[in-house]
Order: sequence, then structure tokens, then C-alpha cells
Amino acid sequence: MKTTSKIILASMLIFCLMTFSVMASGSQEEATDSGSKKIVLTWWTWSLPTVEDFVVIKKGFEEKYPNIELQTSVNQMDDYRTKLQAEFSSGAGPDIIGMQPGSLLTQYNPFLMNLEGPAGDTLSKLVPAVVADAKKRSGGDSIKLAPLGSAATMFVYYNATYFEQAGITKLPTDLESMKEVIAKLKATFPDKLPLTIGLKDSWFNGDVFSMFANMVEPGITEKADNGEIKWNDPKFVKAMEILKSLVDEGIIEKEALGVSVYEDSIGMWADGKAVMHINGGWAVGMLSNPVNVNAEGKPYADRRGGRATDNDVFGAFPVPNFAGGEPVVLGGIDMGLSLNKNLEKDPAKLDAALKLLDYMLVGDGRTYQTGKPGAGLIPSLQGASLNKSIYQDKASSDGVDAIVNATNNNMAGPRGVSNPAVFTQMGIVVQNVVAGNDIQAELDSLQLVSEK
Amino acid sequence: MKTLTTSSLQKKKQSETLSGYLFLAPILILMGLFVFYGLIYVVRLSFFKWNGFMPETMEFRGLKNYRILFSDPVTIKALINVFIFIIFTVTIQMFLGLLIALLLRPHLLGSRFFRAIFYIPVTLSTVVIARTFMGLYEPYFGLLNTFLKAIGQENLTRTWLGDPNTALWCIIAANIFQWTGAQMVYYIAGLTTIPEEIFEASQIDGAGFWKTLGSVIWPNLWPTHTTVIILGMVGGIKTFDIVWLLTQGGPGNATQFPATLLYQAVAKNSQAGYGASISVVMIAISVLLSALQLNFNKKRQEG
Repeated sequence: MKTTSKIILASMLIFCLMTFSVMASGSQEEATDSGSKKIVLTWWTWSLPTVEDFVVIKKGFEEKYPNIELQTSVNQMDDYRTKLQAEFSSGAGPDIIGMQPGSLLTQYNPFLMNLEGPAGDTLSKLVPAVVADAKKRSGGDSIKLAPLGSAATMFVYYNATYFEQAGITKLPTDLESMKEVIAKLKATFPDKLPLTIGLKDSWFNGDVFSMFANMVEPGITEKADNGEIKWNDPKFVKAMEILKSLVDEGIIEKEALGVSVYEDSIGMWADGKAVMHINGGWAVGMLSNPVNVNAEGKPYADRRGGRATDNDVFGAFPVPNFAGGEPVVLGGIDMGLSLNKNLEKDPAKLDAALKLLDYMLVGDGRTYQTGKPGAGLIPSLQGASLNKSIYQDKASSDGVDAIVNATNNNMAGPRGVSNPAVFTQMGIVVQNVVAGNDIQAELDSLQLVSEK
Repeated sequence: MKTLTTSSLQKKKQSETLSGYLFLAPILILMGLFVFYGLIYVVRLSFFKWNGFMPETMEFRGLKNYRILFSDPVTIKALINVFIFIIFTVTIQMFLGLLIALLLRPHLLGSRFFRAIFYIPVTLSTVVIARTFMGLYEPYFGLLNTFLKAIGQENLTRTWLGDPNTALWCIIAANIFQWTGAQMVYYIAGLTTIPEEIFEASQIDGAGFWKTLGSVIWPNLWPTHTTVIILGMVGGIKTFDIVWLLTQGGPGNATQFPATLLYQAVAKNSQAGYGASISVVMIAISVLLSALQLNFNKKRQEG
């Protein structure tokens, strides 16, 4: 009897657990269905818009469209990729996807809506060249990302106050002038680093590889990406030899392999421990003096806590072409917004998503993002420029102009490549070349990865 | 009467067995769903080429993923790295953990306080530990290089995380710092199982610290050693967070581990099938090492 009771008790327990779990999930769905009549749009992104930006964007958008609710999620890039993969492989995914041309767009292209027809009105108000770039990046026969803004790599951010103290009156434009500047800085500030570059970060090093390669021949990485030239071609060898020569000359130090872009490199630069540092054009807000603060009282210049240079003036210029000739910058659309293909099954939701696209690219949302002070993206809207109200001195204002001009008029080719494994390996090649490994062997390994 | 008793005993035994299985059923169902199904799925996936998104694009490629895996020098590098990591972290953590546990035996003044101090790193997030060590290892103004310069040893300064010769050892040091406290706790628990009379007897026999450690403490702690070694080995094979946070597998591929390769393959390069083959190898190594250790322990006990 006692044993029978145990069996019954155990069976009931299992039954109750199963019933409860089924009821719990059922009731949850019910609550969601009945809890809100609003159209809920989910928008995931990495880094931009920031959590703070989203507070303003959400408020403005929901005031304009009271029947739409915006649910947002900001992630680190690596986490973002992981989350997207998990979601899309299960057939779901957010409605609005923060998208980057290159490997991310290639990966998710089949899951994205063609915006050419549905968002035609919005796209017609953008810079035609940027829209054409969006189409090219989407495969050529459709537009899978609405370009929010453009950005380019690489620029040298410098402390103009230290330059003045060192008697540097002309910005470096080639290898020789860069060496002169570094020699003057070393003589004037023996305890400071003349130049930092964060070569510890894999996401950054692929761009470094592209920069040196395109110095040798503009557009060469795009050609290799398309299979028109091999990654171990002599031109790439020459590019890596230039990188190696900068290490040998002491312009780039081997220690850079232990330096991360944001935590270390920017921190040292903002702390006055380094005079120059290399980063993408998106960091243009760093040129602003920390007295310029946003509504929350935070400086537009996110200087990673380094405040020793609060009274200094900063500027920027494109990284000189160390192979000779004009500087080359790489980039194009840095960030776009894509729509989940699943929206095509839900006309009301699709309409809400298109309203959001218009709001962000040409409407009030743009002023909260690419049009706000401190924004790092060059806006895609025709006639729009960066908000220069926070760049009051000549060096920073000229720096902004240099970045905008290079991004709009002097683009040598796109950032990144379509195969993410190749991009990862490009970064590894840079690290190994700086560490002193054989250049040809490193490029052979890159070619092998591209063939896998 | 005797037959009746046997029959009722058998029935009772059957009922008890049945009820036992019923009690086990929920956890078995959950484990089957979330562990064994996943395991079988990963093994199956390792024979396919797949980007991890659309199941209809899966392409059977037999053992090709494994051929690529074992012909890639980076895989060999990752396996060597993980074995070096396991050997040094497990061994050093064992000895340090046991040493601290012995030094902080209950009757010592302040032992509770110091136990808490040594255990603090275990409670901290790996991100916190990594950030702390990044500050320590930073090449220009980091604590380690600054200290070396201050004592006139500038020639010893390094780009600790950026130098292929030192990066792995820096990761090992950070891991030892984080997890030694956990081993200390295991050994404190293990030491309580050794009767105090044995310690007293060894003292009466005139055994010193090292004699007591070698002949009394060490042999009596074999179950604890086994636990510590198995957990260390399995944890070592899976190591990802501290490596990714400190070096991301670099510089170059100098600090690649199987788990960082797996992450790169699946999350960054969309090579889900290839990633699955890395997972299978990791599982196989974990099982093999654990079986070897258990077998060794069993033979030791029998001997």
C-alpha cells in the first residue's frame, strides 16, 4: 500500500509539473497577446544608438506614433553576432536589425527584406552614391540595408597642445614627415608615447591590414575579396613590409600588440601619456573639449576616464600614405538599418517598421543620432553634415572637416571583406607580422583561409 | 508461506524499483532533452558543412571537418596550449590550495578571515579579474612593468599579453589567482576527514611537517585530489572567458584554446559544422582525461 502510494504520488508530481509548465507558457502567451494593443517593434543593435540615445529616440518616436512601442537592445559586437545567430537560426530575430556592410550583411542577407520598393520614398532623400553603395553591398539586385551613416578608417587623433609645445607646425603627410614629428615629440616629451595603436583587438586589426594594403594599391582588398587577386600576391607582401618597416623604425611599437583600442589606447591619449593615437573616423567626438556635455551632463568626448588633458586641444588627420601618395581611407556605410523578412507577413508591423526607418534616416530621429553633437557617423541625408557646435577651436574643427572630407570624397575602397574568416585572419596576419613572423608565410595562411 | 513471502518481497522490490525510476524520470527527461539530445545533435552536425542558419543548406561532408581540424596547425597549437594550461593551473592550484588549507587549519588565529580573503577571487566575475590583470600587464604604464622599471630591471619588462612567449603564462597566472581559493576550500573539507588522532600519532612518532605531509596528509587526501584534478581538467578544456578577455587568442594565434577556436568558428566565421567537430573533440578529451584519472584512482585504491 505504501509503495503504491509512492508510485501514485510520483506520477501525480510528474503530471503536475508537466501540466504546470504547459499552463505557465500558455498563460504567458495569453498575457502578451491581451496585454497590449500596440504594435511592438524590436530593434537590436551594437554600440549605436547607445542606451542613452535610445531613451531620446524611443520617446520622440512613440510620441509621434503612439500606437507603436519600441523595444530596444544594445550589445557589444561579439555578443550581438551570437544573439543574432541564435535568433535567426530558430526562424525568429528582431524586427529592426542594426546592420554593418561586409560579413554581417553577407551572413544575414537571406533573412532581410528588400527595401528598394517599400522604403523607396525614404531612400530617395539620401545621398545617391550612398544608396548605390547600399545596393552594391546588398548583392547588386536589392537594398537590404538603409544607410544610417558613413564612416571611414583610419585617422590619427593628436593632441594639438603637445604638438605646439614640441614646435610642430605642420601635420605629417608621409613617412619622412611622420618620422620627424615622432623625433620632435620624443625629444620634447621623453616620458610620453608619440603614437599608440591598439593592435590587441581582432576587430581592429582587419582594418589595419586593409589600410596598409590599400596604401600600396587602392581597392586591392576588394579585388582580393572578389577573387580577382590572391591574398599572398606580392602587393600584399609589400603592404606588410611597410607595416614591418614602421615597427623597425619605431613608429609603431611591438608593445602595441598588448594595447586595446579603447581601454588602453584612447585612455593613454586622453590621459596625456600619448600624443597621437590611431582610430576610425567614428571617434570624432573625442576631439570635443569635455566642457561640452550632453543633457545628462556627460562629455561628448568619451575619454575613458582620462581627464589629464581637459584643457588641451585635439585634432585629427588621415593616416599618411606610407607607400607614398595621397592618404587612403576605407569605409562607406558604417551602419544601416535592416528589416527582418518576417515583417512581410505582417503588414501592420511592416508599416510601423518603415515609419521607423523614415524617422531615423530623414526625420527627427536623425537629429538624435547622426545629427546630434558628438555623432561619429557622417549622415546619409542629402545636404546634411556633422553637428559642429561642440568643436569650438581650430584644430578640432579642422579635424572634423578632414574626417568628413575624406569620408565623402576620398574613399579608396570599402572596409572589411565578405568572408568573416578572412577578416579574422587578416587581423592575425597583422599581429604576427608586428611580432616578427615571416610575411610570405603569413599571407599564404591568409590565402588558405580564403580557400577553405 | 515461504513462497508467499518471496513473492511479496519480489513485488515490493519491483514496486520500489518502479517508483525509483519514476522519481528519476523528470531529471532524465530534462537531461535527455537538454544534454543528450544536444550531444547527439552536435556529433551529427560535425559531419556537415553548415553556416548555422538555414537547415536546408546543410551539406553532408563526412569526416572532412575532422580532416581540416587535425591538419590545421592552429588546432595543434590550441591543443598544446590547453594541455600546458591544464598541467600548470591544476598542479599549481592543487599545491597552493593545499598549502593554504594547511596554513589556515581551524585552530590558527585569524584563519577564518584569511580563508575569506583567499576565497574572494573565486567570487569575482572573470571580467573583473581580467580587467585587473590587464591593468597589471599593460605594456607602457602597467603595474608589472612600472614595478620592474622602479627596481632597475627594465630589461625584464615585456609586452606581457602582446608577446607570444609570455601571453599564455599571463593567462595561466590570472587563472591560478582566480581559482586557487576554490581548491583551498576542497582541501579544507578534505582535511576534516582525516582524524585528528592520526596527526597526533605522527607528532608522537616525531614526524615533521614534510614527513606528515608526504606520509599522512597527501595519501589520505586522494579522493580530494581526484575531485580537484577532474574538475581542473574538465574546466581547463572548456576555458574560454579569461582567454578571450585577455588576448582573444592572440597575438596571432599564440593563445588559441579549443574553446576560442570554437567561438571563432561558430560565432564569428559562421562555420557551425566545423565548430561542432571542435566541440566533439573537446568532449572526447574531457571524457578521456576524466576516465584516465578515475581509473588511476581506482587502481591506486585497489593497490
